[in-house]
Amino acid sequence: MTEVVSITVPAAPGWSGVVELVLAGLGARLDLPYDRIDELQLATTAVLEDAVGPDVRVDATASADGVDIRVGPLTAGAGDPGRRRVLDALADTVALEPGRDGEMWAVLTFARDGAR
Amino acid sequence: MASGDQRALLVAYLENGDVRARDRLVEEMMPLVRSLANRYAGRGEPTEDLVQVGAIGLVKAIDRFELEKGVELSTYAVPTIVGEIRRHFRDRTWGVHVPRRLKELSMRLSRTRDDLSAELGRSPTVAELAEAVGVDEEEVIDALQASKAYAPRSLDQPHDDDEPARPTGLADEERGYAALERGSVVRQGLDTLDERERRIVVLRFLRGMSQSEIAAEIGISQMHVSRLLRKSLETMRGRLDETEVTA
Repeated sequence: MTEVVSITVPAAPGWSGVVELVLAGLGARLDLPYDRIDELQLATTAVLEDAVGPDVRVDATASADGVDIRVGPLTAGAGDPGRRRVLDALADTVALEPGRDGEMWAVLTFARDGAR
Repeated sequence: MASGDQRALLVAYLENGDVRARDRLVEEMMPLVRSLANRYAGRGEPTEDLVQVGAIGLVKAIDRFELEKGVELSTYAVPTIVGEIRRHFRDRTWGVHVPRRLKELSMRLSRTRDDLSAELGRSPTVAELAEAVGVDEEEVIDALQASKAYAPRSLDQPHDDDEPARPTGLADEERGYAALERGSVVRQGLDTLDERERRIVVLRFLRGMSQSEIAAEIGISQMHVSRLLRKSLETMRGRLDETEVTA
């Protein structure tokens, strides 16, 4: 069974905590190890900082294998190699894909047991 | 004060209930309390408050002192005084208002998370944490989230040149540090971190070590590693924003 949780928040400081709570609840329902939840939150909030605003949307798709996170729209800064390296260490896969209006979205996947 | 005089006062108080003897001990040992409080000065709390809190720790140490142990009172009292000062910071350094119940639960969870990780050989789930501390999963999530509002940095690095520096192993990480893309956001941002934060970032993002592995290597809790990682990324991000503004 696949479950999708979507949340749209203002692209402003202070709202990442709301997203983190949602992700923690989702991670708990999936029985993910807490380290995994923590890194899911860390990676997602890192991406949120590249939101182009005024709002940013997070779609979290949960399945038996883990969680996929889609975040956007984002600025071009999301493609910075250094930042990408950070995300690569936290998520199992990281992809940037264009949206319908040419804006950028990040897609992160987190396998249940992690890449390590 | 000569140790013989100190012992006589301790005997007078602990065995005969002479409160004046305890007051005299407190008075004589206040320079030690001030010295310890000064190590934590300049971190947003009035030094005199720290001295008062430290004095409470001293009184507790005197009350709990066991004459038969044969140790000096000052040796026994230092951890209690420092513990009281640290507890004061812990209660005062939450970035947002967090109910005491959640603060206490988050501290219990920090210990439980480390204990369960050692026992299970992996990070525990929220359900396992909830069962271990006897609360429901929502409370665990609330408390763990609340703990992220806690700013513990100053407590592990007292302003005391006499205290031996923690081994950072930074030189060992230089190769990894240099491996970062020249001019990248991370590379620029690393310069804004202190040595321990930089080491944690390198271990996590370049060496691919897990939070629990880093916690074991550096000798701090997983929760502390998590907080330092968050703080480091925020600091690095702040540097980027400044760069973009001035560019």
